[in-house]
Amino acid sequence: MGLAQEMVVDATMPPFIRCLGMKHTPKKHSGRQNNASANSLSAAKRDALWLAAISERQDARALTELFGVYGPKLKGWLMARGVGSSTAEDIVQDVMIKVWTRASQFDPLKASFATWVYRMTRNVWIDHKRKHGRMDVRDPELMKIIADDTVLSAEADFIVTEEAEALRETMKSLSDVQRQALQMAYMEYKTHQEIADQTGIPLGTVKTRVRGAINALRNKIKDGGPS
Amino acid sequence: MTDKDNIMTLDTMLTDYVAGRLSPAKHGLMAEFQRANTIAANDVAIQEAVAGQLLEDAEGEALRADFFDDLAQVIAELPQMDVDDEPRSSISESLKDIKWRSRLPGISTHDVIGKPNGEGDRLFFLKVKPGFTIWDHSHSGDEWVLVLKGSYVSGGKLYDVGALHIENEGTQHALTASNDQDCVCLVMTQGPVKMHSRLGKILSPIVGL
Repeated sequence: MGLAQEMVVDATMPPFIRCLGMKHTPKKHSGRQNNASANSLSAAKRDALWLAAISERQDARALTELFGVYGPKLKGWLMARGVGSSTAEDIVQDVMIKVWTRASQFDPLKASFATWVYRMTRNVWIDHKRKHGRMDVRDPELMKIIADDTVLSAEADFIVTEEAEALRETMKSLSDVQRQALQMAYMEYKTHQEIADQTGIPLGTVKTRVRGAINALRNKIKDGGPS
Repeated sequence: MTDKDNIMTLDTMLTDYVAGRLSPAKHGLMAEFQRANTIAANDVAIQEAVAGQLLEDAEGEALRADFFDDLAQVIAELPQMDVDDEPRSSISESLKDIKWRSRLPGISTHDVIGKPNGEGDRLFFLKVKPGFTIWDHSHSGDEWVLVLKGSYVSGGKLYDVGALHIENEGTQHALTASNDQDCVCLVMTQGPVKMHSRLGKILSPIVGL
């Protein structure tokens, strides 16, 4: 697959994007490319376009379409944490407003939108727990700085776009049990103990499996992706 | 704890942080840990990228039909930030303005979440003057200490900037700040501190460390 790849317009894409006639970026590991990664790649590009429309043109429709895609995913993530449907939607709306006001801070070179909004949602959720847990906050100003997801370590080499693409590919090379362990840990809000109870796998093995999957991904990405 | 136990515990803590499974006090401490420690930051970065990818692949739960109805009206009134609008403050800058409360000779604290001697997770800053010691104590739950400035020795080990020191429920421990400078830490404790020395037992209800 070369640079002259045909324009691919996915019929499932929102109209806003379809009319842009978006192209796929040729991938480094084109031989292994399949539909899932193509969808993922265009998802990243689609999201970046929405974010640009929000920050550059204050385009409310782009925000609606962005959350038409991510709203249900985030709601599901929150409901897995025991949050009721309407509270989950309130939190998603808080996140949506945060995305609107902070769209210009989104840097597609540092993280995918999915990762960015994941981190933001998680922190809004922790904030929600703090406010509703009758927690005695003694220093609100310092708490704000500690809880601020935009304060990042300057030294960390964050996953850049190319690595994120490699990650997508590499995640497919995980075994089913490894992938299931990650799914349970990050999406389904299962503690290692609960995963152990539910799958009948010993606790130590569960811990090793989550960690093993993370380490395998890291090593493969540092080696330049799957080969 | 052995080093291997420590690594296992730390791995689980980082995964729990990324998954949003920690209490606000613990979450705050881990957020600072990954800002202060590059290895932790890189580990969190890859886990968050994995979580983001899983989120992208998730189906989720349908939103109510009128979810977006008032959106245009709400956001029309909201200012958008420019990239540089928000000066990013950091804990190390904020530490300069902290009003420390003296607890014992050489030892002061500043509370962020929770009260001294209260139940539940508490997050606070701890400052120990050079060479001063916090006597043998334990907690009814875990104690996590992140070193932000200076260093201290506990149980024969040196903890310096970026180190995360984990003590589990019931273990007795003491710490002594190094001689060269103040040691400043962010500390998460669960439940009131229990002093084990005779003087500590007498003083702790009074000073509320």
